[in-house]
Amino acid sequence: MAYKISAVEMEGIRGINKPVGIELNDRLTVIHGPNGSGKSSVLQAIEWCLTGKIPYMRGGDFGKEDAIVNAFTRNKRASVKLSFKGPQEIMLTRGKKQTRGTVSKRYDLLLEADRSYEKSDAELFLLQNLDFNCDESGQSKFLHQETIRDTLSYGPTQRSAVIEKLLGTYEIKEFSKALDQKSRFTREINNIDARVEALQKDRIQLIFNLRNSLNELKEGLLRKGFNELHLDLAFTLKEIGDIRTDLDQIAQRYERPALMHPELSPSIESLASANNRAEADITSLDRIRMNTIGDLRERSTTINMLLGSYSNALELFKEYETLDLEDLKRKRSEIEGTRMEVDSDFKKAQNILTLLPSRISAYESEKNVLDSEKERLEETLLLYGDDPKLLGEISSIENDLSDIKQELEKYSGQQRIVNEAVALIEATHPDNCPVCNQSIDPKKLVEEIKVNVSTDISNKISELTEARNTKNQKNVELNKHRVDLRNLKGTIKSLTDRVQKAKENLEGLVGDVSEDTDLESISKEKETKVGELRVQLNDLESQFREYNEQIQQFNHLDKAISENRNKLQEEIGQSLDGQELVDAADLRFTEIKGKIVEYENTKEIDILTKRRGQLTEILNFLSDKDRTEKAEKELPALEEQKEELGRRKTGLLILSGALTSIKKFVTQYQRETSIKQIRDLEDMMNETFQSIQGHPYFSRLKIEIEKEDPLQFSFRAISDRDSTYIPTRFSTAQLNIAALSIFISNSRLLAGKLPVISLDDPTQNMDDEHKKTFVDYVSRLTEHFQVIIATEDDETRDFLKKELPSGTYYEIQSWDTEGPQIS
Amino acid sequence: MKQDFRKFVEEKLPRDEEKELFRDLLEAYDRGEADEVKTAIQELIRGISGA
Repeated sequence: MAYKISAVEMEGIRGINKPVGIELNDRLTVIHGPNGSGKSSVLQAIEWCLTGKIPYMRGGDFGKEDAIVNAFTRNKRASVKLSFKGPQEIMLTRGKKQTRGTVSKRYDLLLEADRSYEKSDAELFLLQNLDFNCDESGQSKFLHQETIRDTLSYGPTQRSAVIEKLLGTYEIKEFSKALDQKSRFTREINNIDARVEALQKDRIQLIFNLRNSLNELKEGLLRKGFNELHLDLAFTLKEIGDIRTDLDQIAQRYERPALMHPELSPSIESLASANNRAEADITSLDRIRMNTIGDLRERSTTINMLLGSYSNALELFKEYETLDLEDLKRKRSEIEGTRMEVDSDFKKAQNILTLLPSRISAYESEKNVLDSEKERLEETLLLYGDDPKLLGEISSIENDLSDIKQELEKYSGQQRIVNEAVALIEATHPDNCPVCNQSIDPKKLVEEIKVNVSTDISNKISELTEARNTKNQKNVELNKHRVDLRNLKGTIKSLTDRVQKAKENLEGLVGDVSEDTDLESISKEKETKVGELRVQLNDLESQFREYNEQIQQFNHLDKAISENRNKLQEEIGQSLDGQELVDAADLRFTEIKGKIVEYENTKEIDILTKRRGQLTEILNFLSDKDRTEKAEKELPALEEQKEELGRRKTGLLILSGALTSIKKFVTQYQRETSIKQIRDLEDMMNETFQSIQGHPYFSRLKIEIEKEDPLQFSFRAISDRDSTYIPTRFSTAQLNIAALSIFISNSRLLAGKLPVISLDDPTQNMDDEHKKTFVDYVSRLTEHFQVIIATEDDETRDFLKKELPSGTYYEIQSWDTEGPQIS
Repeated sequence: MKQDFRKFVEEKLPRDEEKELFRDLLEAYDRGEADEVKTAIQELIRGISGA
C-alpha cells in the first residue's frame, strides 16, 4: 500500500516566513496565485523536506547566499514538517540554520513513526518503507519551472541537460565531468619531469662532472711531474714554509725589512691564503729589484757623465794654468777705454762725412743764386738807372700830364659851348644871331660850325688824349722798374744772409771757408780720416774680444770644474779633488756596475715564482678534491630525491589511471542507464504526449544519443513518414508538453510507495485546448498519483476544478515579508 | 545520485584503492557537487606531487 502526504507545515523557508500549514488532498492539491505569491515556495518546501536540496539552486550566486532560509525570518532557521498517511503514520521534519551558501549538509532530519529516526536512519527508513531514495527520487517527483524553461533553450548541450535532468542522470554527468583533470595531471607530471631533469642535470651530473674534472686534473698534474706525495696538505705546508724562508733571504739581501708571515694551519684556506701572500711578497721583492736596478743605472749614468765632464774640464784647464787673469782683465779694460775714445772719434768723423756733402752743396747753391741775382741787378741799373734817376723821370712825366690835362679841359669847354650853340640854333631856328644879331641861316650856320669849329676841337682833344696815354704808360713802366729794383735789392740781401748761414754751417764742419777753400779736398781728407779710424776701431775690438774670450773660457772651465767636483764629491761621499777624485769616482762607477749585474740576476725570483705556481696547482687540486668529496656526500640524498620524484610521478599516473577508470565506468553507467530508461520510458512517454495532444503531425517522441563522451542526447519527434529535431518544429507549448511527457512517464516508472508528482506551473505557454487535454490527463493521473500543482493560470485552475471538484484548492492572494496569505 | 550508480561503478572497479577513491569523490560531490570533486582531486594531486 502506498503512502501519501497528508499535510505540510512550513516556517522560514524560501518565500515563507511565519509558520503556515496546508493539508494535501490524496488525489489533487492545487495552489493558485499570481506570480511571486509564494506558490513555488510551498512545492520547494515539500521537495526540500524529502530530498534535502533544491537541484537548480547551486553554483554562482547560490554559493554566496543561503537561498533556502527565508531572508526575513527572525530565528534564521528553515523548518518543514511533512505528515504521511499510509501503512503507518509518519512525520518527517527537516530543519536548518542559515548558512553562508545554499548547499549545505548541516541540517536536522527527524522521522517519527514507530519511533524516532534521525538523519541517515531517517533516510534509510524512507528507503525501506516508502521506497524513497533521497538522492534520486526527487528527480522523478518534482518538475520545476526551470526544467521546463530549459527545454526552450536552443543550445544542444542545454537541451541534452534537460533530458538528463528528467532522466535523473544530470548529476552523474556533472560528476563525470569533474573527474576530467587531464591537463592538471599533465602539468604536474611535466613539472616533476622538469624537476627530475634539473636534479639530474644541475646536481647529480654536476657531481659526476666534478669527479671527472678532478681525475683529469690529477692526471695532468702527474704528467707534469707531480707525484701522489705532492698532492697532499702536508707537502703543501712544508713547501709554503720553504718558500717563506727563501723570501726572507732575498729580502735580507735586498736590504729590506723582514717579511710578515701570518701563522699557518693545515687547511686549504690557510695554505691558499699563505700562497697568495707569497705571490704578493714575490711581486713586491721583484718590484724592489727592478726599482733598485733603475736607481743604480741612473746613478752610474750620473757618475759617468760627471766624471767625463770633470776630466775634460781638468784637461782643458791645463792651458790656462799659467794665465794671469788679473793682468788679462786690466789689459781688456785699457783696450776698452781706448776703443771707446776711438769709437767716439770715428762716430764724429763719420757724422761730419755724412753731413759734409749736403752742406757743401747748400753753400754752393746759395752762392750761385746770389751771384745770379747780383748780375740781374747790375743789368737793371744799366738799363734804367738807379732809383733817383727813375724818380726824376717820373716827376717830369707827371708835369707833362698836368699840362695835357689843362689843355684837354680847355678844349673840352670849347666843344661843350659849340655843342650847346648848335643845339640852341637847331631848336630855335633863329633868323638872327643871338650874339651879334646878324641875320643868319641857321641850317647853314650849323653846318659850318660842325665842319670848322667842332672838328678842329675834336682833333685837338684826340691829340692831347693820345699824348696823355703815352705819358701814363711811361709813368707806369718807370714805377714798375722802381718796384723791380727794390725787390731785387731785397732778394740779394736775403740771399747774402743765406749764403752766410750756409757758410757758417759748412765752417762748423771744416773750419774757416773762403773763396779759395778747396771743399773737394777737404771732403776727401775727411773720408780718409774716417777710414783710418774704422781700421783702428776694428783692431781694438778684435783685441778686446780676444782678451774677453780668454777670460770667459777661464771662468767657464773654472766653474765647470767646481760644479762637477762638488757633484762627484757628493756622489762618492768623499772630499777629494783632481785626479784623486777622478780615481775614486771611477772606482765607485765600477762598483755600481757590479751591483747592477747582481740585481739583474732573476734566477731566485724565477724559481720562487715557479714553485709558487706549482703550489697553486696543488692547492687548486686539493680545493677541487675537497669540493668534489663534499658534493659526493650529497649524492645519495639527491638520488633519493630523484627516486621520490619518480614515486610521485608514478603516484600521479596511478591516480590519473584510477580517475580514468572511474570516469570510464561512470560514463558507462550513465550511458547504459540512460538507454535503458529511455527504452523503458518511450511507450509511456508517448502515451502521455499523445494524451495531451503534443503535436498534430509528429505524434511520437524519441530521445537519441547524439554524441558519446560526454553523452549528449537529442530530442526528436517522429511521424509515420519522417522525423525532426523538436526545437526546430515545435512551438514552446509543444516543447513544454514534450518535457511534461518525459517527466510524468519517468515519475510513473519510479513511483515506488510514494506516488507523488509535483508540477510547478506546468501549463505555461499552453493554449486552452492543450490546457484542457492536460487537465484530462491529470485527472486520469490522480487515480494512481497524489498530484500537487502550483499555477498562476486561472483557466488551468478552473478546468481542474471543473474536472476534479473533489480536489483541494488553495488561493494565495498576496505575499509580503511575513509570507504568503493562503486561503 | 541514483543508488545503483554507486553499486554499478564499485563492482566494475578492479582495485580496492579505486573503489575507495570513488567513494571519497562521491562524498565530495555530496558535500559540494562538482566543484568539491575537482577540489578533492586537486588536493590529491598536490598531496602526491608535493607541489
